[in-house]
Amino acid sequence: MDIRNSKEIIQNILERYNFAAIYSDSCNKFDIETSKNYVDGNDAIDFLYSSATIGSKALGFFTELPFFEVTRYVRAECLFITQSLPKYITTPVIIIKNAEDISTRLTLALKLSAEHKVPVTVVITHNASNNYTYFERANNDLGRISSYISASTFKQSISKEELKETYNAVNNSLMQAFSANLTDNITHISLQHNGYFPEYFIPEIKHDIFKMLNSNVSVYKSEKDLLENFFFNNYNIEFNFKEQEDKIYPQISNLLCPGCPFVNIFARGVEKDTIIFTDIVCKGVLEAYPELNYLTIDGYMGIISSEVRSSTLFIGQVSSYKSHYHNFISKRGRVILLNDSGIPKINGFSTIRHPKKLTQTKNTLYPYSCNNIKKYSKVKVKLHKCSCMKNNNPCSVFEKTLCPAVYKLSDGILIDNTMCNGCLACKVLCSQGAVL
Amino acid sequence: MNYRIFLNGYRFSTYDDCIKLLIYSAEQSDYIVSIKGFEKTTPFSPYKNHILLKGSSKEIYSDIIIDFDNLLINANCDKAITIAPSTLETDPLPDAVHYWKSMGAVFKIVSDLSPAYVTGYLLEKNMKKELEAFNSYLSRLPFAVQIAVNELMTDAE
Repeated sequence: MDIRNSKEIIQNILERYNFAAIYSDSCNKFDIETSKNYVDGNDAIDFLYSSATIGSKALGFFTELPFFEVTRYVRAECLFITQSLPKYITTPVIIIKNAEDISTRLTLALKLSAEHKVPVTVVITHNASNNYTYFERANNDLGRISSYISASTFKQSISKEELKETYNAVNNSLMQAFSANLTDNITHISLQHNGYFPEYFIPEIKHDIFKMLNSNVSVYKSEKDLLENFFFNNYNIEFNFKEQEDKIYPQISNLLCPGCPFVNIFARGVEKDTIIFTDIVCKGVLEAYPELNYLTIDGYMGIISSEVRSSTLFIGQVSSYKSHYHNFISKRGRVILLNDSGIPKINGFSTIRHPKKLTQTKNTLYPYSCNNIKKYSKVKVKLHKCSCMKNNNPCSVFEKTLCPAVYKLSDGILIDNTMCNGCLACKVLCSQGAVL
Repeated sequence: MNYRIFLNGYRFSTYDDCIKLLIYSAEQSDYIVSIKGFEKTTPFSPYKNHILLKGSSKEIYSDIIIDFDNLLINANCDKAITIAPSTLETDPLPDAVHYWKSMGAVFKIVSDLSPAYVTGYLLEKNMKKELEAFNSYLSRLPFAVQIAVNELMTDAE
């Protein structure tokens, strides 16, 4: 029974190609072993691009790919993997919609990157990322080159004309690779669901397939804006696709990570009527807490540079904090920094060693971030006090923590101490005082 | 018979074993199997998959929801059999044995799936508790689930 899940197939590729630089953002959905660098998405692109420039194979996993410009050729393969279509495409993009294509298309992307010396983006859709197929072992690495840097390595940039020629060559390679997949009649397109979707995109080069797309082609309602904006932003083509109702599937409760900092922050550390901002892109957290507003830390400093009446709070990572922000936050606003960098203290911040010490007033250095959640002591439940479900009421602990360590039994809850990190958010949120 | 099976669970290791065994058993029983995956918004989000088992040329499907960890909020389906710890009158526990109870129930409902691959796998791994759990629901479904199955099968015919 040689059925494998998508994660196993990707791991197989990683084992066969010796990547020197690997990055994954905090969502790390493929559970990949990464280079131990605490960088955010924008910095990660630079980290990977520079590695590939000097000849070290580089691979990055991004929930959403930050904007990136190709300015120089790379000496080694450089791949950016994402699950959503980039808003602006500045590298060749290969689409993987099915698990059975992961191995061949990732190998193709690596080959393209090596031959044409440019980074390549691969979009692995949700269907392809979370699926099963019969296993096909990836080919071995085509070759290794040694890393090399000289005084002129970073002075050599690519002209627009050279880049255009390179992309034409990439386009020819991809046309040949996907010639068997050409289709005559397109009535419906979808990226994340069943339906045709172009196999690849090249910056500024219009696919022949685009000629077959028109207002008679239908798209799912949830993808309409995304696809219309994509074609307009990247190819200046205005489509007004027909809208098709999204398919409806059973609705499942989402779960956050055990010890998720946001659970504790909302349970203990937020005053009423506070407007909350974050630059952490976690879809699960943003869905669980719709009151969160996405904003960069620089954007937040812009807000608090002026006197504002409303109480505000910014939640971000230590790795994106710069010391000159102290000039702003010492006067107004409030910041909670999640310690993704292992730093013992920051000027102007109160360091807490356990989430239970979080207060509603100070600038705080929170003991951990999403990637390095710490483990504290075990948590117990007093079953005789655990009465919400016995009275046919929803369990406030489970509903508000969305914690996978909390098990709802027929007569109460159970905490799985192998998964629980001991953050004690459940203790604060339990209306019956049943958690110790 | 054709089935649309929606599965979800967050104990990945056991979920992975179960789904692979289900896919393999279905293929060996001559079903055409088509699988769809769904987005995970956090590393601990439940895994969700939709499996289509096509055994006949008719376009009539029976819907089964396998909610391994009692996470279902809304079935969004008029007539679906829900297999979950709550409907199987059992509790979800950290050892994930309840997954195998759900698997037993699925194999009981989709009667032409051979349970041999599952029992063989569990025996090989020396998973006695899990095998007992699987067999207990393979032999008998809770009353409420059995009623739902009977209704669905009558409609399908």
